[in-house]
Amino acid sequence: MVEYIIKRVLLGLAALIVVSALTFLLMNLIPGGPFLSEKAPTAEVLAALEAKYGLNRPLHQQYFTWLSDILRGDFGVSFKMQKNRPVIVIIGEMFPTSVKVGVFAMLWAIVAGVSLGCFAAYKRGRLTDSVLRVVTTTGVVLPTFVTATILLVVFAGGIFKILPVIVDKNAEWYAYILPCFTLGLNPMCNIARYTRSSMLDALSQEYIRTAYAKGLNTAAIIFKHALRNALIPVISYIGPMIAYILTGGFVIETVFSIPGLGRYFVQSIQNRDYPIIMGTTIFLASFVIIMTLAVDILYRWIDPRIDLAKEA
Amino acid sequence: MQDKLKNLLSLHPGDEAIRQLAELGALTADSFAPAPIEDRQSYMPRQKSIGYWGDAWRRLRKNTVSMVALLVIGLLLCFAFIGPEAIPYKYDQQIRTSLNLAPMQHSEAELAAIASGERVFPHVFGTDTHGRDTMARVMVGARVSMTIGIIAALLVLLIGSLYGAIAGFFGGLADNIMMRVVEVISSLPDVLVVLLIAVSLKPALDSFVNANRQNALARPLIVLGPSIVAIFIAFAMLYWVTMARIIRGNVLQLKEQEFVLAARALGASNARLIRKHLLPNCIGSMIAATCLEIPAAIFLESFLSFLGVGVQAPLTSLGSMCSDALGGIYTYTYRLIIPALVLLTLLLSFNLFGDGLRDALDPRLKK
Repeated sequence: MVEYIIKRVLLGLAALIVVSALTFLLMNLIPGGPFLSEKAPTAEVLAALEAKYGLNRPLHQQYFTWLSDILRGDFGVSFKMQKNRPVIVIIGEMFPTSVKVGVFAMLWAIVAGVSLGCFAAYKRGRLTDSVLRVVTTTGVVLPTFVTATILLVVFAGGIFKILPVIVDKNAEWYAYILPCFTLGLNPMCNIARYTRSSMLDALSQEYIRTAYAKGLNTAAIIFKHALRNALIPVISYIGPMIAYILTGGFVIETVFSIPGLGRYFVQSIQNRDYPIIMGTTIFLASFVIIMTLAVDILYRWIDPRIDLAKEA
Repeated sequence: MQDKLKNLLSLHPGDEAIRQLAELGALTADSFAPAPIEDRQSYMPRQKSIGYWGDAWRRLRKNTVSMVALLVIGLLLCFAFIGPEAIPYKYDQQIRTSLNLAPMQHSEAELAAIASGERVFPHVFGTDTHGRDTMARVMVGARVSMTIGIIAALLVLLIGSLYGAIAGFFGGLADNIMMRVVEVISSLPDVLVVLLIAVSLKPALDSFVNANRQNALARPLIVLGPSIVAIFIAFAMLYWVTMARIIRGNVLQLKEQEFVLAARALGASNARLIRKHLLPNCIGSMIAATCLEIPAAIFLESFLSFLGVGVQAPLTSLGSMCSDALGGIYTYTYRLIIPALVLLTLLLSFNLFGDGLRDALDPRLKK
């Protein structure tokens, strides 16, 4: 276990270094450099500026300076969108909204996904199971931007008009129903599929037969015996789900005009505001890597059998 | 004695049985005569043996879902690659007189032409704000999406299978280091990194193209457009790890087998062993994994195009058509629905066919 944690943390660190180095290199690839905005400065001014900010030093030295800035929370300042405001402040302002939407989306995805998966496994081979399989398979490949826009048209703007179109800062709680539902739809279908297959696996175990033989009722068998073991593989999906929710959030926040980091990120891409793009990428990538790391360790801790299975 | 003889003959004729039979006087010279031709024919296999591909095809044919998916893929290929040639409108042709037409609607100019007895091809899916025929655009969009998917999957196949084969073949320290690299890359948040690469490579590639128009490297960049090339680069950098893992697993098993030892004894070099013996034996997993990589690439391309960093105008893709449709979403909802449905069908059929193909070609991988 300790060995696994050390190995996993080292891998996480390596991933963080790769992300930061990649971001730094790509930032340097962009032609023009940071001082080329509307007015191009003269060659002497440019040279002086480059000397002042250390841009004439070798690339690896620049990288280490940049990395230590990042580690101290200095992500630079915005070029265009909110001129000269520090990127870290913008992220701090925007991220909580994204987290709120993401957490609710994940909660509904887990609750509904596990329930549907159990139900499908319980009804295996029957019509309900087949219908659920078609629905979840479609849901897994359905791009978020399609579901988001169609639901927006149906429930908010076009046909029913029961939910608000724009989810701004002062929106009521029900304004978040549609975005959270849409964002969680794809992970929900994935979780339902995982739960169904691991539930079928659990239900075919000997101890389930024993439970039936000693006369337990079906609900107790499914929820107390089978589900506990069936949920373990589902936990391993939480890491990828966080990454999905985050990137899906870009689309959801853009479509529903939610003032979160995702929409701001997309806008900064369209405006080519590179410090914000780079800062947000580093921030979100680190967030995902650290969360995945935590989930992986948690998974190992909950189910120590995995360690043994790997050694065997 | 007859009983004892019967009993002995039913046993496997080992040395002991033969010795006893000889003692009983049951073995004569006739017992060792060659079998007559009829006897020999009854031992021949009745039908031609089914090879690897025949077996896989038989398994695939039994899978109804996959066969339907294959049919749909065929129809989509016709739609995307023959369709644009079959209809009289070009995807970038702007018809001033027929702006914003609904599906099957005719513009006034066209109605006048019909009234005067001309035959006018209908705008089956309508036209957009620039008067471009939506069906032509959906067809070209599907063609772009599919081409990107297939090329990206082939890139993944090339990189992943070579990397995986080398790691699995050499084993030991090399394998250890190479697989750590795979683990690090697979723990990166892929969509985010792809987005970053696509965003920041585009201006770099743009300026490269502008600076060296005559360069041989710039030619594909001009033809494809820098954003598509950025998608390919991103895909080639990140998505080969699954393929590398699968191929490594296969090679690890294969390299212990006798035919590898035989080839080595005949003096085959490492490169020849990998190229001629190990990789051809992984072909089933390679095809299945590549087929599942295609929808992943199409999905990613549509995501990037929707965010505005993918395929650039005037060229179009299904994702950028969905993105364009957002402008008049309440009035012209069908402009989103049509490309979205084509995209969904494309993703679903490739995924289902890929799943079936994996089950058919590589039954061990079946979930």
